[in-house]
Amino acid sequence: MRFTKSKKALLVALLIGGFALSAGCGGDDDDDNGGPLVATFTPSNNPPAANSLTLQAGSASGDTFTVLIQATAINDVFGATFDLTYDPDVLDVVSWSAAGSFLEVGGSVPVFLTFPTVAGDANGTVEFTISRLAPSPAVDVAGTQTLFSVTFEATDTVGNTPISFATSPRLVCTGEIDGGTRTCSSVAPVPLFAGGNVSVSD
Amino acid sequence: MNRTGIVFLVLVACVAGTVALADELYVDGGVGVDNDACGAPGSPCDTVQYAIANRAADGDSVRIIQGNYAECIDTLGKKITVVSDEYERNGTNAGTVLDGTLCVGTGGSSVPTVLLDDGATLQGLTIRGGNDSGVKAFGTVAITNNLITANEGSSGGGVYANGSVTIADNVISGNSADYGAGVYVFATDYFGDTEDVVIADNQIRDNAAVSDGGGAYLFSLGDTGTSPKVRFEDNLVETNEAFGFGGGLVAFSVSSPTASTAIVITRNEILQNAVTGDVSSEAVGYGGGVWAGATGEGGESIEISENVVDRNTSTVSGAGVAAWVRGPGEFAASRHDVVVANNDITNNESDFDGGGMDLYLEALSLADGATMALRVEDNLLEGNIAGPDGLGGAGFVWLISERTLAGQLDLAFERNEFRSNLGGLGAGALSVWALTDANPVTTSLPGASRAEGRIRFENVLFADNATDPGGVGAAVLAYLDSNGDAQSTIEMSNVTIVGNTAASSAIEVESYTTVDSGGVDEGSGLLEIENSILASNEGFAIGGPTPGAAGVLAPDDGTGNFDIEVRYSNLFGNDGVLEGTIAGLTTVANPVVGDPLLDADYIPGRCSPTLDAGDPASDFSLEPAPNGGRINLGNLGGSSLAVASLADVNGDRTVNGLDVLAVAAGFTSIPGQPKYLASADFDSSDLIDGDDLSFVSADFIIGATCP
Repeated sequence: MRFTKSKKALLVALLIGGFALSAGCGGDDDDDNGGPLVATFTPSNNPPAANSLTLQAGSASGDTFTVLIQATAINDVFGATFDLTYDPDVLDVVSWSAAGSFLEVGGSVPVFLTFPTVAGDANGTVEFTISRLAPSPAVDVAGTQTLFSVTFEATDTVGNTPISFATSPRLVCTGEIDGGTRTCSSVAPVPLFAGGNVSVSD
Repeated sequence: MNRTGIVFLVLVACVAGTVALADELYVDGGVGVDNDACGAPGSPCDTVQYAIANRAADGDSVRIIQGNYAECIDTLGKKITVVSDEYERNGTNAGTVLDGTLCVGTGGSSVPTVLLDDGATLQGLTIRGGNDSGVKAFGTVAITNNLITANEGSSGGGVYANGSVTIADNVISGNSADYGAGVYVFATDYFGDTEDVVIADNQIRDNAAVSDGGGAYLFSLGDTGTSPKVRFEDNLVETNEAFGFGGGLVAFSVSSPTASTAIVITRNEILQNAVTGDVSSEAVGYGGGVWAGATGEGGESIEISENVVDRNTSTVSGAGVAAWVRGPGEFAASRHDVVVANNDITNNESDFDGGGMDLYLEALSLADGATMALRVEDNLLEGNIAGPDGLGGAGFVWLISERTLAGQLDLAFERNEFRSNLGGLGAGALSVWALTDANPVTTSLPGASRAEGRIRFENVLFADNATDPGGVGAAVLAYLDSNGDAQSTIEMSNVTIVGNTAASSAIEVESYTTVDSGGVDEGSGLLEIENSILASNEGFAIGGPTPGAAGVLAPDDGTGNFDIEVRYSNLFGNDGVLEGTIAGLTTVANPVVGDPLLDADYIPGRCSPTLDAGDPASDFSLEPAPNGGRINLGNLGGSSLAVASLADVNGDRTVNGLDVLAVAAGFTSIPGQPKYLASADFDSSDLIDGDDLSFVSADFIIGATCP
């Protein structure tokens, strides 16, 4: 199925490209194939359940869309660390931002680290770590609040693909150190991590 | 103002004018006329010596117009400057020649072309033809910007200097003498001088000594209560030759009990010099580049530092540098120190032993309180070669300790790199001989009969050294000889021995222990290796001679008293670990197993099992954070160049968000507080702070992980 869609997209792109050339118009930079792709993110946990860290849809425009990493009804959030995975054949990471994170409450500037450090170097997995710095206290999250955001762009390939929390390591940290065998205590009960799916169509 | 006052002012003005306006006396050979009025630019003198003797006074300059002057001069104790006009005009010296070839002294004796007395300066001339040195200088004298060539003498063919002499920016070439063909410095403080003798920024080339010191001979003699000092710096010493010692230069420091002497040889280029003495005689042929010796009853120090010593040759040993320290030891205040530090000693070649160095430390009944040190630090020895019948591509080392305690001696190699040297019969890099002797048992000297000799290696790299085919000891050939109540020890801490090639082993060790003349005590030998890496050598890591060979590992009295102790070390990828003879003598404790993961420059990777694997009791405080709280193995271990450990708080060998969060959660905490984790305090500052966050962040963003 995917192969068929790809061939179809290529055919459409060639046709549109030929038209644009013959008409003397500028190309559409939404898509190298000329066809305006549309990417839609659908969270798998919506509305988000209490005590969860979920991906939610943010702003979207054509083939570019933003996913919000949000906490819902979790107390004592000091930081979090996890990998996000996606299909690099379908999606590229464009950017990420912790501006406006609920971890900034009280004037804190959270540590926000990624591996790789440059979005363009990501290839299917990005490791995120975000944290307040002691002695700033952990934050009680009431309702749903945004931890940080990640913006993706669809590649030339139409299809469906998940964006997921990798299974290990992932942690929502209270900032309480637990003897060094674990780096900091996870909130209890352990929150639900839930991703979502992206649909790319033309 | 009365008349007396006016007269006084006039007199003062006249006197002031006389003092302020030193005369500049011109000499123009063939044009000038020697007479009572000569010396003005328009009426120059004919000869330099006439101007000096009859026209010059203290403070004057004798300015010589370009030309050849077949004369010898003597400043006659006048504090004057003798300078060429061409030098004053354009900085050259080749066209103004003082040639002493035809000079004859009283009774037909030899004389120097130039004799400088205290307070004189010689500048910008060509000095040649001296048959008792080109220039002889006494007292506080400056010899600068001259070409001193084709002179000869017994000591100091080019220059002989005794006093607070500055010899700078000269070209001293093509001279000959018995000692110090280019320059001979006799530093004595005889003139009550307190300033250094300084020989700086000269080019000393193509001089030839019949005996010692082809380029220069620096002799610092400390007589009672004196402290002469010599600095030899920033010179080019090239293609000089001597027969006995020091093709490039000799530095010899001797002092009386209440005296001290110091010679510093630094930042020179010492290239392609040679000692040529017949290899059949052990009395000659040492120190192609430099020979340095310290001995006496007071305090002598010689520093050889930051030099480039390249492509020198010797017939016997120490083609690059030979340094000998000898202490007779009757005086408790004696100090004999030689330091060879931060030099590049490369591509030197000996016909016999010691391609790079020949080091010799001899302590004979050293009195309590007296000390001797020969320290070799931070040098690169690369590409040096010993002869096919010789030992020690990089060097030959002797320690002789007779009735002297180890604490009085310091023969140490620290932070050196021995790379790609070639030994002959053995010792691709170093041949190390430690001989200790407690005999005679009865002695009137303090220290009784005990003798100890210890050679230390710390943070040393031996890489890619080799012997000729069939040779032994690709990196080190150690020979330990002990007689009576005596012990010879070689101690290797944080040494990396890698990629060396020999038929037998990387470290070949032989020991010979004998019972004293009273038949009481037998000597002992010990080789200690800790926190070290012996990897990927062709041959065994440690080997010994053929079993049953007379006197080695099976002493002739039949008891044997030799041990090898290997602790916290990595022996990986060698053709074998312990040669059969050695195995029974060796204790291996706390081995560190696995591939040390050395890169092309033999630096361990961050996942190397050699990191944080050394003796927990060893000092790791100089290792940069994060240092894991334990010393690394190998030559960089324990030093500021040590490979950093992973900033891995939880010990899972991966730096990820868990580690970052641990630091963040413990941020600003100190020991004793609940959130403080010592493993997150990478720099052991007793505070988890931004530095620790930066360490963990730096590893996080590169995805640092180890399998």
